[in-house]
Amino acid sequence: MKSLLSHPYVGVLSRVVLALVLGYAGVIKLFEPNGARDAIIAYRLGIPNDLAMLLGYAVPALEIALAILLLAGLFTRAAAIVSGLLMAMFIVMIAQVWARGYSIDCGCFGGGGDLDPEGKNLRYTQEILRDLLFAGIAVRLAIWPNTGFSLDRGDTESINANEGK
Amino acid sequence: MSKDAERRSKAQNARERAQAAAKRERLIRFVGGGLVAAVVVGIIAIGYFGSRPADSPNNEGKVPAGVSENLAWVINPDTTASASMVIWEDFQCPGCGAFESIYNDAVQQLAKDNVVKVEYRPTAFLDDRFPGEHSARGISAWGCAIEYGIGDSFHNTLFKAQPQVEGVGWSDDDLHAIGMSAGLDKDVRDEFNNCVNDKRYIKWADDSTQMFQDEAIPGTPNITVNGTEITDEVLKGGPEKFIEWVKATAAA
Repeated sequence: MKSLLSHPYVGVLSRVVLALVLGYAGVIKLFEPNGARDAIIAYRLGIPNDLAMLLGYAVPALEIALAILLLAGLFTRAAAIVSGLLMAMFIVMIAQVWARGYSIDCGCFGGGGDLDPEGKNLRYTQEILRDLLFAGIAVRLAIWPNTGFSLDRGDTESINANEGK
Repeated sequence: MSKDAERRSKAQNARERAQAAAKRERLIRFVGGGLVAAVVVGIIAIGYFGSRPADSPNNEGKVPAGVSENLAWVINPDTTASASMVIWEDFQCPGCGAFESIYNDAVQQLAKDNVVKVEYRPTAFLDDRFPGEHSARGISAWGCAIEYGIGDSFHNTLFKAQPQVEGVGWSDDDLHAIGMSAGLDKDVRDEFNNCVNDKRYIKWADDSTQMFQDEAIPGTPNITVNGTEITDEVLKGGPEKFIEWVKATAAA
């Protein structure tokens, strides 16, 4: 199991999957930045409008940057750690708004804002499970960042060379 | 060449290759990292700083008589209640339509019984997401209705005439007809229709929407009593539970 998880091809697949998820989430948010702002406000964390507006651009920008890095395999470990933290933050935000009894659209892939309360428990559960899966992929990449087909590869070689001394 | 020298030169070649690889590596990291950082900074700079509104609008002379300085429509301005309930709505929001159909009677009752002062606040935030400016035109037409004395009933009738999905909205003719079914006096029919066509109170819509955004209201409908927001649990509980919550929160 461990050797399968740490296999470089699984690593490449993990990078591609995480990059596509983050890239899609980032790009779609950029097309409706007011939606991203509304989604951030909907989490009811007392974030003022100006900051929410700024985050409405900063979050998708970060997601796109991480997607590029993961796809290129550049700074893979750092990108994986930041992606994992981002997922953890999303999970905490969804959980707190759920626990406090509000019904919102997470805005994970665009949209966002308040929603009809019907079926919210199922929806929140799905969103959290999905983010946990992505966080798991990020953790896998942080533990075994050397995957091949990546710009980090030269680094791997020099590490090996150093270890060989 | 001696074996020793051969080994040394091989080692040297390997070292040089490793050095070249390390140099290439540093270059890739530097350029790649720089490009990605530039993407992040570029998106934020163009998006955030490029789209900020120039300055906050003023609302002089653009609010219908009967709408307060702070842009709210108060349904019981003469109330003795000290607590106030604020209801933010977008005319196109289906949740607001549902709220009105279930709770309008309860809201009217609470206003009449002097439990709370009831402030209705309009926002057109859905116009950002759907084609047309139906939410803002709806608010402007409501301003006309307030001017011609049918504020409450137009508000309720417009919600009843809400299309199922956002973005479909109402034509000017629809808004004229809604005015008539809201009980508009036939004598002022033309004036009302002209007011609707001129979008006379569109600035009220813009300013109130700006306020909605400045105050970071999380969505619509948004109902607060003395600043405390209603929970979904209460909102799903029906009119009796709603009235109970408003009374308890107003008294707290």
